[in-house]
Amino acid sequence: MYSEIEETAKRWLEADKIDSFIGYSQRSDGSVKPVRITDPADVDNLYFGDGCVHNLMSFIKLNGDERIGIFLKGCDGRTMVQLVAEGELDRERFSVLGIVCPGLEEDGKPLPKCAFCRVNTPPDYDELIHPEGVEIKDEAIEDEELSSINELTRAERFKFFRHQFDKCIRCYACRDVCPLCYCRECVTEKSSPQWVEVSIKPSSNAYWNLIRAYHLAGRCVNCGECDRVCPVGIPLRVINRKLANIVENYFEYVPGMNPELTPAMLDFREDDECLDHGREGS
Amino acid sequence: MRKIGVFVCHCGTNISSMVDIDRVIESATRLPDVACAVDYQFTCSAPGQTQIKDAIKEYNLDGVVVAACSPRMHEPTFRKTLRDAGLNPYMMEMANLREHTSWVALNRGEATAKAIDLVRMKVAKVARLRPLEEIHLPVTRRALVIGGGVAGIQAALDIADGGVDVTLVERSPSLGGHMAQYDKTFPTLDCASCILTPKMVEVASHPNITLLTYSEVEEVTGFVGAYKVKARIRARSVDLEKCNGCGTCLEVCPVRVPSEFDASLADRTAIYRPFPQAVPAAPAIDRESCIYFKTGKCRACEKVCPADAIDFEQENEIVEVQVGAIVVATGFHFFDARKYTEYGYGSYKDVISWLQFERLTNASGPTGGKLRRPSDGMEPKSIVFIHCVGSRDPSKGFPYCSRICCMATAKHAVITRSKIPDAKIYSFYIDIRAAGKGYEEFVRRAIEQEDVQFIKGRPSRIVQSDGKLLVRSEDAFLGRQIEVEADMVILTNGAAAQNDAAELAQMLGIGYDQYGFFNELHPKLRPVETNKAGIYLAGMCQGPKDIPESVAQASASASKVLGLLSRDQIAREPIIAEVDPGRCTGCMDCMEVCFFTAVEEDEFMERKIAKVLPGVCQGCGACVAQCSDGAMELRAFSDEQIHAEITALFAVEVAR
Repeated sequence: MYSEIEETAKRWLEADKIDSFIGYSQRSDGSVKPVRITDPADVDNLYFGDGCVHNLMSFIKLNGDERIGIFLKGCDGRTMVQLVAEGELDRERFSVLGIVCPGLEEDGKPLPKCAFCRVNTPPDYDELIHPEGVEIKDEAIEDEELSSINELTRAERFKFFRHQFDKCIRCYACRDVCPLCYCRECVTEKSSPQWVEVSIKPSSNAYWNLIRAYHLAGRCVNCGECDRVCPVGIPLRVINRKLANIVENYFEYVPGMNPELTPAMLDFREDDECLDHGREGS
Repeated sequence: MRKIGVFVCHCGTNISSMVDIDRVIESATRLPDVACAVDYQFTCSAPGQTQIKDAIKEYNLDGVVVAACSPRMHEPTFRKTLRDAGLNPYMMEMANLREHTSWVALNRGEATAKAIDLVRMKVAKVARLRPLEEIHLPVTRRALVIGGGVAGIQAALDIADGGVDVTLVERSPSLGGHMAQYDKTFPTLDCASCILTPKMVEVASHPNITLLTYSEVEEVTGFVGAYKVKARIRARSVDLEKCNGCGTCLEVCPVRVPSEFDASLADRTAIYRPFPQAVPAAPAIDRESCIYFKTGKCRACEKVCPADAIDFEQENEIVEVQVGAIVVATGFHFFDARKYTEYGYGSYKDVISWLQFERLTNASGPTGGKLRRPSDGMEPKSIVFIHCVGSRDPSKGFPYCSRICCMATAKHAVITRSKIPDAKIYSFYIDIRAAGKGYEEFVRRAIEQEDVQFIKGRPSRIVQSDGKLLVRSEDAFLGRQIEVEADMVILTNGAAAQNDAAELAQMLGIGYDQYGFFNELHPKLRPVETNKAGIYLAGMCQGPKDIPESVAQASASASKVLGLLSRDQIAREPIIAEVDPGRCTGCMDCMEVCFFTAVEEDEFMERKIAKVLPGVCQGCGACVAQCSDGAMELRAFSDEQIHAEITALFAVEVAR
């Protein structure tokens, strides 16, 4: 469907510009899987269309010296920019084939994350596929998705999230799939001291979910992978978006847009607005 | 099993009146690891400390919890007690039963419960403490003084007299600061420049002082004992070595621009010396107004210079010095009275600022010391002073009192009386603040002997009509509106922090308040230190103060510097962050969040990792919270220790 993907991957592999190319491929039943291609002969398996929901940045190694070609949608492209901004990734190792993403559908409806997508084009790419009729989105849109949460009082909101967290079985799939959850030793796995109990009980569940959300504040790029993999349906992406929204309002920082910009949580300024007045009410 | 001693202090009745000491002792005795728990009236007293020392020997203690006041007060005291008893001083924790407990709790029951919790937490932590050794760092025996006003001058002289080399950096072409602009000083009416200029000359000729004028500090890195300073010497266009200060160049320069020194009441030339007694005497060329730098023609000054000292080719020069300590004495600027539009400053020529008045009465000022109003040169017969312009006024200015203005206005009034004996003099004030030696007496003199009308009231408006200024105000004592006719009005505008104070504070890593004044470390007990070791404050940059206070603070800073630099090595607290090189991945996020620039790149097994500079790290822990690899740990605040405290707090909750 997009012959440019095959053509580019082949050209880069043949020119020895990259060691491997990471993209999507379609199974015979029509489902989609991520693939890593090293042989130029295999490029005709590459595919893009509905079902290509995976954030391919979850499939790369942060360290290492492999030169990787990678196919990125807007949200995935922001992941790469954020990793570079946080000093975790060497951009030189990557050749990015970006796409102006038309948005993905499931059962004829746009995915929620695509319905509220703000940036459909990777902010940083080497080559770009621009499908006809797809507009480049890089502006904020009215945030209807959060309004149901914003309308709640603080106490109601807390109750809502507590209820959601109670469902958690702490499989940690959200953590494992998130390309920005890269701590080598997760706080949940520390044993001396042990901060989180292993047993599934409400206090530890809330602890894990809050820690996860806080650690992604001002970093999450809304790729929605956590949401997709959660087996009990906790609206993780919405929690992340709420925090992203707060960080953006206070610090005018949108993650994953500019690798040169110091991430909000690494940037201490004397004139940062006092956060106190944001706590009450709203 | 550890052997921990718990020492509970009554602090007179400060703690014991709210905390049931017996219950705290009883609860502590039952804790594992606790070998003894005793109380005393004043644990910080000599007998109190002896109690600790004796117990260390008797029970062979290896850790101590002192349940008393804030560690900010007595932590050093008890560290020393442990050291004297042969125990590592860092095997001690303080539970704050006073500031955190007895002084804030609502009732005895709550206070006692909290005291028991705090002691239990600290015992859990002490059981996990490890001995620490102080860090010793070499000291550079040179000091930097930033700012060449009276405070900077005094600090530089005192340090230099103590035998330590000083680099003094002043932004303008001459030493002197605001004091050089003043006419006389209150309450003795000494001529300001007569007492200041000898000190300026002394700075210039002092063998231990390197004077950099027309220069600014551009970068400060490093740490106490070894600060690396980059200063930019701006191109003066006049060779300081060759110039003999004859001033011929000043006579031929055709340019006229408002003189900063004369507060725009007179003009200066493009090649200029701010005032006749300037130090150094060599003038500077203001390149922005010089015709040669604008058009490539003129060079008149060069033609007449007998010493061949004019150098149009001169360039900015960066010098680097290493210093052990820094005194910040960057002064203040006057509040801009134009913000009070109702007073017409800036549009009515005869409404002037305090600084302009100083220049008008100064013998070396634009009128040769004759008090004449700016609009027509007439001798004013009715003169109004208005206090607190910009001070004590949160709506237009600052909420604080600028402290010096009441006395300055009294001084101005007395000077006016001596120059124009038959003048009517009015002074509108909110309150008279004359706390200082001889100050109240001086104000009484102005009121009683010099016939100055002090009127309590803040004028609401000044209007100009028929060459007269009408000052409208309430008279708070009479309780009605009054109107005073004036030939001239002087606005006593308050003191504000320098516009770029925040920038400098950030460069130095010192704290500043919402107005831009630099923060002292403790408002009472450490008034000249800053939060950064080896950086001290002097004068107005820390907050409004008069000349004697500025000078006293400068000398205090100098004594701190001399004390610090009298040692070959500085001992620093070992409570700093540490990198585990095996875990660090070199993302350097810690460097980004470090407010003290205490993190550097380093190499470990051929890969980049972070490194903490022992002298710079203040142990704030920001990097520890940031590190995603668990590679940073704060000594004496390790995860293990903090976790033990939290566990101890909640463990008993459940049992209760």
